[in-house]
Amino acid sequence: MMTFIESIQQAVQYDFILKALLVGSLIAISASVLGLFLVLKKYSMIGDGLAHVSFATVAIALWLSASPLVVSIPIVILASFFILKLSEKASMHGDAAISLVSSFSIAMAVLIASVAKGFNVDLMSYLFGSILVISNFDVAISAALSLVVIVTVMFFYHDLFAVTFDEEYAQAVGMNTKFYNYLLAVLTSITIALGIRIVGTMLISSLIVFPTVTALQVSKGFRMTILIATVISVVCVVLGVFISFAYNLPTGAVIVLMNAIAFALAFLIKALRR
Amino acid sequence: MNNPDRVNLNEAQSISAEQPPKSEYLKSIILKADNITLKYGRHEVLTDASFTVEAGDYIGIVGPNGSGKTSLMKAMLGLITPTGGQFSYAGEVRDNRFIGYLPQKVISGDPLFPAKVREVIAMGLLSSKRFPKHLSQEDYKKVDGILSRLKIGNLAEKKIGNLSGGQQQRVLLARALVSSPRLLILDEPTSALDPKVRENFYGILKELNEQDGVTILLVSHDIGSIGQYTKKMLYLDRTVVFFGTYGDFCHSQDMTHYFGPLSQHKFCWQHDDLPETASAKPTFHFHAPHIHVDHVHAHGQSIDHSHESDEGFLEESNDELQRVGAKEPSARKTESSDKEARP
Repeated sequence: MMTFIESIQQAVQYDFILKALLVGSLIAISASVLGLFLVLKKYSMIGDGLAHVSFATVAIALWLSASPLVVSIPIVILASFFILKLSEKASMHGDAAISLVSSFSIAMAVLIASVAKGFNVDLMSYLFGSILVISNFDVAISAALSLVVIVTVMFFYHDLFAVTFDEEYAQAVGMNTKFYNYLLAVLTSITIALGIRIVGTMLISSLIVFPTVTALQVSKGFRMTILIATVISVVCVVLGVFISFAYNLPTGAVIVLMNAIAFALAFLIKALRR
Repeated sequence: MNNPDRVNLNEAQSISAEQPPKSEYLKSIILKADNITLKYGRHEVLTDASFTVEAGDYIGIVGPNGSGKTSLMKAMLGLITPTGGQFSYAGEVRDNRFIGYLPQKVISGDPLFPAKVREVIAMGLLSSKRFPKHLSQEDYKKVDGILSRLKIGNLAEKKIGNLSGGQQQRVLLARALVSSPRLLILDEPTSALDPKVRENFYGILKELNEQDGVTILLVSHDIGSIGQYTKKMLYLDRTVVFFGTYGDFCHSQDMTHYFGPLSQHKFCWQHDDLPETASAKPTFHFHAPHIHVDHVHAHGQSIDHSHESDEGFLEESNDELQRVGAKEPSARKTESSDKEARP
């Protein structure tokens, strides 16, 4: 145990660890405040789908030697609109729409990577995340945008709650439910595009789903669920970063592992309470 | 259908429409439906429905399954757009925020949904707020006020998914009422309730209508019992078959022809001016109230396949009546199972 604490002391002296902790925590917070709305709306998989889209956009960005974040965010937002439109218009279930967009994006990413040759290693770091690749520019953008996401959810909390609880009722009392659905899509897109840097394309949706489902095991109220999810998520990210540093393990995978342990604990608590 | 009642109504409507809208002397019209036609895809569910709602009305919207009553209600709320005709709202409900709505389905089908009763009811206050919406201490006082008025204060901190159907229904009624709406639209509110809770529920609505002057539109397939609670009837079957008071309904020759004399009498609940012949069948009046509600409930559903022959329907009604009367114990059994709270 002593060695773990020592390595934490050692870790916090590295710049990149501090950046990873900052960006990771902010993304964890934005992902978990959005998570409850998405999970309850049965849109858990949208995180996965959009992560695949951001993977493709990263491939495009690397190909054009542009900043991945600048390219990713607008395209991912468009893709999320496209998913909503598909499920609205094309008589298609939401999960099917996500799955279409998702596999198409992966195909594009693979094609671009094979045509452009030479950045496969770089692209890999986006597949499973790497805390080593975070530039100062990324930190600034990530921090700013996560704050935007968090503040927006706070401002629209009551509306999002009503739309999630019963969309028809919300519409009946005059709320613009479509606007809130698109708002959620935008916020999710931003969070995903930021998050694949830390935990990677394959694992980012766990940041959205895991803490929320864990919190749902133990909570009663809506606000409380979001709060618990946020705390769990931040703790998991911080622990994950330190453990991955101390034992030289991939960060994203360790964060997901922490989340799985947290879920198991919450499930146990729920079972014991009965 | 050429219905004298409808013609009269339409005349009355055009006369009162010429009056200044905020006349204190006449009952003011708050909602006017002009030739509403509703379609789902190519399927026309409601054709040329016209009626007017006056402040203080308590209207039962009834009709067989598929008659267009739920669609009409959704159109009134703006959830679906009419393909023809239009609604005009006036006076105290020109804005959605003065309308309370109680949906048919209890809770979003998700027992996991982490919402406390207080949180759900507070939702009813949102439509009157502007961005950024914030619920103050005062708002939560309103929530607590409506909770105690509906006598469910003990549920305030409970998770909505853990409540029984009747409790959830009352929570959603509280949500509809918390903003003190002037018009309350309810969709099959009692279908999940056992008879005792149902009576209580109607008691609350009556108080709202008579003491607070809330206008109520109640959609129900339970045509048999709705007449003892509501003041007017809007009978739909793909169009307006009848609209007016129960007194008019009872005396309308057209309705006698449409439903047959026995059903007509039963639906209008005008027992005082009961003709001699009808009192020879005391079964209607001397049933225990909950059984009565139950058997007529079954009728409402049987209507849709018995239109073609009124006599057939009549016979069926009598059969049903006796069957239900005989099976009193089993009826009670289903009630008690309804009452059980979810685990």
